[in-house]
Amino acid sequence: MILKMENVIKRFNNHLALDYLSLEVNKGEVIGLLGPNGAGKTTCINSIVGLLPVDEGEITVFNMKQDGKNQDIKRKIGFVTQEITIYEDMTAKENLAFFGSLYGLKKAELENRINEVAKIIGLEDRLNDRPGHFSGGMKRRLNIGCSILHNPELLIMDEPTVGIDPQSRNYILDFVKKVAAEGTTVIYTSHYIEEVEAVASRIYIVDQGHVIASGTLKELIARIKGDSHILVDVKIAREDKKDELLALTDVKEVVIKDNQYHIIIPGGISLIDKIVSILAPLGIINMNSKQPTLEDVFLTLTGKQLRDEVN
Amino acid sequence: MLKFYILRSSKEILGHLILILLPILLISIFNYVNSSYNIGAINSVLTIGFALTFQIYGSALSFETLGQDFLSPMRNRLLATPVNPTKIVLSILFSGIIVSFLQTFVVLIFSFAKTIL
Repeated sequence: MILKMENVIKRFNNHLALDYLSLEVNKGEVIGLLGPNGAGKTTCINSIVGLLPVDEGEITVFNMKQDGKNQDIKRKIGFVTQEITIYEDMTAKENLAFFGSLYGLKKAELENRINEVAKIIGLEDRLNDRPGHFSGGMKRRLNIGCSILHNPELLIMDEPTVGIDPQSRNYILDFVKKVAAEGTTVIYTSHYIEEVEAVASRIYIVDQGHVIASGTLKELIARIKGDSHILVDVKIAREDKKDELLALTDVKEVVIKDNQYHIIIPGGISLIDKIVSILAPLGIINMNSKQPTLEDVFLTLTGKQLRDEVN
Repeated sequence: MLKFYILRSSKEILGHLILILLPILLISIFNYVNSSYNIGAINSVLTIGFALTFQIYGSALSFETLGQDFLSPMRNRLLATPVNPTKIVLSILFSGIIVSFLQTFVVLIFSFAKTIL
């Protein structure tokens, strides 16, 4: 096992950031850590890397206790920070050289790794340019490149695709799949469900500092397979109608988004007549049901939509 | 690491040029005034003044770099590496000292040359 967190608690004054959080990561896995902003993903990551001491519980990385001072653990971890942490006044090559040197790479070995990593991140033609002239996606890729020079056994990526174009996002997702195929263990945090679906072999859903569900995508979806999801498009959605729907017996959750009501009811129960009668005054445009996705799992378990939390 | 931080400090070429050229220009002007009107040891006063200014600049440069690295998200990236943070801090401080020493050295040499020529 690469990583084990057992009943970890972390408090910031009166705020409980990690609430008896436990998770396990095995070698070669790509773990998706999914949760809305403020769920505790970054605190969890920072605790694993050793940047934050935990109040209670234990973190074991590579069978060594993580106390924040263990250099052997740090040598085996590549950490891609949520923010772009590169030196904009230094060239891409100088950035790579600096971060490589921090992990003990020298001379020919460092030079070789810089060239290899530059190819991996697609910046081999821009090595002598300063990141100040790069696009957001290129900066993100350089940010990742600076974390993989030392061939880490465990790569931790904290929301690595925030604020970039779809092309660069796909590039990063392909990169994750590639390094995972080569045997690197990856922990990937995001609030973009489709990214986690695309790369993760196992998913932990985190909310309010603790794990509310975990498993493969299939296992998670199977947990809510009994539920029916009804989508009703209306001309103008109203909040009071949501309350009316929630007042119906058996309605588990209602979310309004872009004049669409997303209603979750247990499978086998037909509430169509009642739903239509409540929403008809709003002018129903379209009505259909859909198969559950990871987003529905999240919605069912937390009563929240990830994107709404973000926006 | 020290090499990187010296390289980083040296990137502000315009700033360094101004800081070296301006004292040289001022020393030249005052040297001319001194030779014309025989005011006194103004060159020495100026040179010492500039040397002290450079030391203050070197300190400011070091603390600005420390701020950029340790009071920003870069802190997490640096602390996640196996390098002792004290070593990084010392490298930053020494790079500031070296840069300010080199600036002082150029002005001292110029001033000395002016005096003996």
